[in-house]
Amino acid sequence: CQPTINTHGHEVDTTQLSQIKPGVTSREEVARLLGSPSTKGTFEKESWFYISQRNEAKSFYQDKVTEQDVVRIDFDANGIVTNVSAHGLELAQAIEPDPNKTRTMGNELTVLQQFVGNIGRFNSSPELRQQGPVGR
Amino acid sequence: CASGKLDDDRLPDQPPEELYRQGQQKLDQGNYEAAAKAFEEVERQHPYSQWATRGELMAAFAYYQANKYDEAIGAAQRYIDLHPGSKDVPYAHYLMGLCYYEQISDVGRDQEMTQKALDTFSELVRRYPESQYAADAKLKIDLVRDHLAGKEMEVGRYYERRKLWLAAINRFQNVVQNYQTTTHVPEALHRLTESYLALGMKQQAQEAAAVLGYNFPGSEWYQRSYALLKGENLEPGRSGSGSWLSRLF
Amino acid sequence: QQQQESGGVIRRIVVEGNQRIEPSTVESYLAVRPGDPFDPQKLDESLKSLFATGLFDDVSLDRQGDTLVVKVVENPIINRIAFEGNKRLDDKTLEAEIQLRPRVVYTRARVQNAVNRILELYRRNGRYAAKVEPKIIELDQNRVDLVFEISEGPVTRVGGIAFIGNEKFSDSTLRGVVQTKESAWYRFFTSDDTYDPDRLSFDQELLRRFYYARGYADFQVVSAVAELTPDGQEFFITFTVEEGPQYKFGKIDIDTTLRDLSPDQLRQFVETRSGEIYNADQIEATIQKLTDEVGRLGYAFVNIDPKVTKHRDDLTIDLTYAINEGPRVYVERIDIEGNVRTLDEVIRREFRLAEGDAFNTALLRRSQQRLRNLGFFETVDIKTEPGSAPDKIVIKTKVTERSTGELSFGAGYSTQDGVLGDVRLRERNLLGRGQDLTANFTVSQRRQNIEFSFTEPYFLERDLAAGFDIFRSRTDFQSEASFDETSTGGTLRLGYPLTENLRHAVRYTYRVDDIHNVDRDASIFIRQEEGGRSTSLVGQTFTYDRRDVRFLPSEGYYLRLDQDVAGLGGDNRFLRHEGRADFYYPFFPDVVLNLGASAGYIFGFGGEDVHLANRFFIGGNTLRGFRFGGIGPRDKETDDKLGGNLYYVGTAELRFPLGLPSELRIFGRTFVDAGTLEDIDVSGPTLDENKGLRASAGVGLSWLSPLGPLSIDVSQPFLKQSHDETEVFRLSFGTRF
Repeated sequence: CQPTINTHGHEVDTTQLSQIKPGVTSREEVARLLGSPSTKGTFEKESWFYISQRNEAKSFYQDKVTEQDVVRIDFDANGIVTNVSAHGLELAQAIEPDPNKTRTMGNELTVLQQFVGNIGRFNSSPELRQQGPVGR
Repeated sequence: CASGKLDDDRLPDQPPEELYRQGQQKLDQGNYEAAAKAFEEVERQHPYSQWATRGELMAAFAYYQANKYDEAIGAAQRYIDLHPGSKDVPYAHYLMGLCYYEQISDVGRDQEMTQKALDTFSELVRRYPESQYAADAKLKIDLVRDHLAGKEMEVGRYYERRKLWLAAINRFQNVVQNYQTTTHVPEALHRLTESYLALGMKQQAQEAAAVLGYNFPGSEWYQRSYALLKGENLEPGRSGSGSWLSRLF
Repeated sequence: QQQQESGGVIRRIVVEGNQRIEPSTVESYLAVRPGDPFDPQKLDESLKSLFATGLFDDVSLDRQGDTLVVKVVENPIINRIAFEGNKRLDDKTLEAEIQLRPRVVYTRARVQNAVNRILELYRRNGRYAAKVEPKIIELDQNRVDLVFEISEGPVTRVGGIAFIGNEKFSDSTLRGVVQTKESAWYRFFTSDDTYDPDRLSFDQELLRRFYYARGYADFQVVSAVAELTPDGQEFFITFTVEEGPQYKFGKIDIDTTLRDLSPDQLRQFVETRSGEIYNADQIEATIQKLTDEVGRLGYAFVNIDPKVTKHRDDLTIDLTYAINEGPRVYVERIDIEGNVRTLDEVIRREFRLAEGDAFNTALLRRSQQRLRNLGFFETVDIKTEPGSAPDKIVIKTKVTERSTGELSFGAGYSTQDGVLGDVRLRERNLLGRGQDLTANFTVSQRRQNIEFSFTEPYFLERDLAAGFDIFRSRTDFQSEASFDETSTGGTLRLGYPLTENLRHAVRYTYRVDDIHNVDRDASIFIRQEEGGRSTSLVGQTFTYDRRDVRFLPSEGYYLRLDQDVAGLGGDNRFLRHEGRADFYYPFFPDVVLNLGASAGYIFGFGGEDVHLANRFFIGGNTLRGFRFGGIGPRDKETDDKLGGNLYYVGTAELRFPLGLPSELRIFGRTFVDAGTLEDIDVSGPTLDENKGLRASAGVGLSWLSPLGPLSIDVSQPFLKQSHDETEVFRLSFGTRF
């Protein structure tokens, strides 16, 4: 059975990309040509990224990433392109996300609640419960 | 033209203090719902006595104790509308905030209550900053924001597990940029390191790990990022490698 | 009214006439403070805001020297509310509707609003002649009791529906198209026979769609008039229509501006063919198919609109599907709300879009369809909102959950099993994780059965349904073969899609079948089998499902192949194949022919025979006209039936309406069943192979009653062997409540 190909993210059109010239094109020009970026730098906002991915989905097998492209465009302080770079799957690293999680609060639904149908009460601050409005 | 229907269930009118005392007695006995009904009776029979005003607030508190959140919120809101100038209005806001706060569900589910708790407590702190409830409200706001950050992380981890790195990065960035005071920031930074590496964006990965190391040197998340970047398990892999189970299929 | 001349400064503000409202409250709504000038514009503002609170019947501002006097007359407080004369709608429903409650401030506007709401509620229940009169009873301390005196009046029924201007379709056909129905004795379950203006406009939409799908492109509803009879009891509805001529499709073409996409790739998806009758539904279906196909080819930003040119002279309509690039928009976020019980992940994994992806309407539509197929939600509505950039959008998904827990008791009677009762406890969305847990207890005269099953649809985060079943059942075969059989066992199973419609499943089953209390003078072949035998088997199933719907399909086909190998341990060693095929052909609306065939073959290997517990028994539901286990190899002396290793059955059944209105959901069936059961591993003088084709013909009636499905079959075998046990009458009625 032939797999289905799913495309994700923002695929950049190579002809438009070639029109972007470092030192010449402005930020607005890039936005007009390519559209707004998939994501920006987390800490410095001066670089834009256009990320896309193609996976192969075959029945119950985990999706196999067949193509992964990152296009990076850096700007200087007054918004002119300083550098355009792109790379694909060759730089990708095999990453298994760490299984641990930071703890969070909130009512976890228990089986009984599911059948009884009401969500239990999460007791926030027991000591505040007894003390009603000041000066009863 | 008094109709028949109304006469038969006319309650014997009692003086307001008597009704109020009954309400208080039931409250002390822990019979909260009956207490709430008694306090409301004060207001219905004697809307102009100052016991009525006090009664409304006590009715809200009694409903809260009985976990009747919607009724408690309704009563508190009515108190605020009818007596905007009263000194107990901050408490009414605080009570409403608690009602929402205690219905917060875990991060995997709808966060409507979390948002309402955040809005109510924020309004309390904004309008009555020096009230004695503002301090606890501020604490609750931090806890609630932490919970909302937890939801962003949950969705981010979902996308990460499915190797949709772009979607994951935007969620974790949202935590790092908009929820800086929450307990999820260290993990968010580590997840960014993971996702950036998976996309081959080594420089961004190092940046995230550096910020993590600088701000949270002792955190175990930093040790994990450090391990990732030192190339401990950097074996080149085309598609997802990792546990034998996933490679088996 | 307030003082005209301005100038001078307000020294003091005095509030008079307030009883319940504190002065500080009144002052908080004023736009002026002590120390402000007497500014008429500000005073007017204060007046308006005080009235807006709804707390006051009257407010006036006077100036005495440099004191501003605010005179207020407070609105009374509602002490109690009562309803009189309401029989059809109880107090609780009315109270919820009028939004007035004890201790709320009384204003004339609010009471009038309440009266209108009550009248609206009665109109929706088909009572247009209802009247509501609010009465006030003054009490001390400025309180009032409020009584709504209601005279409900009769239900306004639909006396008749007439059509003017329709030549091509009869009045009765068109009455079938519209939703409003004429009042009749058997319409006790529906409220469609009461007059409702909204439904009338929906009826006009239904008529348009009906005609547009049959070539009448110029059709319009000139008027839809509902006249009330003088006594207010009945409405007579008249639809005046203009049918216009019937059009055919002229030239059909596709043109596209998308790069390297040739129209020829897409022609196969076009349902509208030139020369055929014009049909608006087909155009819609074609656009849907084209959008999906173009989406599948990787074009994310597509919009397709049909360019229509009408030729009145030769009554043809030319159609060009213009496929152009849509706006390049990306999904910024997918937010999910309303999932109080279901986990966010269980919903998000049904989405065919991820955050950051290109926005594609076809994928969004399929995602919405997949969410609805989960069966966890009452409503699934998805809307898009602008994102942080002009080419970014946020997808907002709002779900309202339905209770997916079923605690149902079934009662039924089937001539095969006798009186049947079962209790079923099922939760299809366990803990909001999308898992399915079922516990099933069936008790009948012949069979007792306990069964637990659990399924995780996304095992290991993949499109992989894993689950297990454990069961224990006791069946009484005394009348057919004088033995009882108790089976206990469990199955582990994995299922996954191979293509869109082809699914594959693998399983491992371990079971022990115990033949016990065998009658002393039962057949030797049965007595040999007494005792327990274990089966440990591995099996697989292929299902290919192209039916339009699963329940009562009217089109398409369904193929299934099961293969099991027993011998991985356990006593039995056999290979079993079973196949099933069902084809459905719709003729006229609601007349459906179902051609079905099923066959099964089991044979032992490694020198092991096929034992009684594993042999096939057919009859009853599988071969109508014959009792279950009533045919096939038998013992000459004791006439005990022994089951067989090979069966094949063919059936042809025609389902047709009985001319009764469709909402009664009663339909008739005629059928012919034919088949046989033969081939057995045992031998001996008293064995009668009892081969030969059996066949029977019959008629049946099915009623999908609101209480549950009921079916009656009467069948007459016309081809049988002498010792076959026949069964002329079958009735089965099951209800879930």
